[in-house]
Amino acid sequence: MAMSPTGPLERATDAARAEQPEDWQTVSAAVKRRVRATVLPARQIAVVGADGSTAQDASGSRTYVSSRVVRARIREALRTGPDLGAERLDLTIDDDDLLTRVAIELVCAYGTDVRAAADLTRTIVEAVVVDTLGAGTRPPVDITVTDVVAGDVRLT
Amino acid sequence: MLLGHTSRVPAAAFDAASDGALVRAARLGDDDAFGEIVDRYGPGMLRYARRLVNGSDDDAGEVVQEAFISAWKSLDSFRGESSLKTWLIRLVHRRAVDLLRHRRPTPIDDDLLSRVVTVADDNPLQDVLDSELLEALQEALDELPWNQRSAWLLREVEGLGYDEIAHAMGTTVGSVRGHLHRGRRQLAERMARWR
Repeated sequence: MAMSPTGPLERATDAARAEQPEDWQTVSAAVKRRVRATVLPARQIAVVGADGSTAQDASGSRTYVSSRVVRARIREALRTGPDLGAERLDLTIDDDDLLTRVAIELVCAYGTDVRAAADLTRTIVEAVVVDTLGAGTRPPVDITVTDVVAGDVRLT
Repeated sequence: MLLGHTSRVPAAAFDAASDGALVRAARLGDDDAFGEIVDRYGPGMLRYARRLVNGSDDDAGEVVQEAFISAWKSLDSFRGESSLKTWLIRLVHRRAVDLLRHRRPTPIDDDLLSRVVTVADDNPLQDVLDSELLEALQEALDELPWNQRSAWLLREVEGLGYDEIAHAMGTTVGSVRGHLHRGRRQLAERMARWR
């Protein structure tokens, strides 16, 4: 049979451990609100047409997409299966606001063919990039498999 | 193994995700994943912060908010050298230090500044309510030097190991042992009046 604590410090310690902050929901909501409002550093990336031009019309208008949007699209595209997931994602953008390289660190589930996983990732990323930044954006996509985990990479 | 890209995991499934999976997703900007981290470790962080900052609800809420915003911005720097919980507690600790340093002079690392304790000779009712005990505990904690208070809370209430406490406080395991030893002794003396 478990002994119940008898000393005042022990009783107080047990009470402190069991304490659930009543105002947690308020604090949690405030934290999440602030996180969503926090603007993380981002760069603008120019959309490039199939002809390789950034001009969207005769007067040379340009369209830009935030790197934050591109990252989110790639993240979502890669988070669809149990076998692979992105660990880190770096976009290289040159002084002309063109996306020149994508580097991804990849985590795979045990048993996954890592070369096939890298090829699939590259295909997915290329599709997202073209969809988001235009058919003329074809940066090299470097994949590094950095870890393998047991089970679904989205959960473990 | 065939790569099966067929279905998306809804945000609600994050509650079953490991810390590592949550960090991976949040690091790439997934605020739903970060929201799960907030709900997983926030209550303990708030409890720790409140006891650390003299029981102030407002200060504790501010400390925890600042700690999480800092975590959100610096997830890239989390390399898994400690557990996610320890890393977050360390951020709370730093924010609390900052807040209290700006508010009022507080003895940070000098047990000589601790008041001399006299054991009370009064004899309150044995069967006290938890809330009264907690109030007494907070008063006793408030009288402890900062590092003793912090080490005691992290060990006895949050259940961290010595090495985790050392990481969270930015000190050595030996120092943690010293702070804990003195903190336990002084708290026991201060709480003795409730016996």
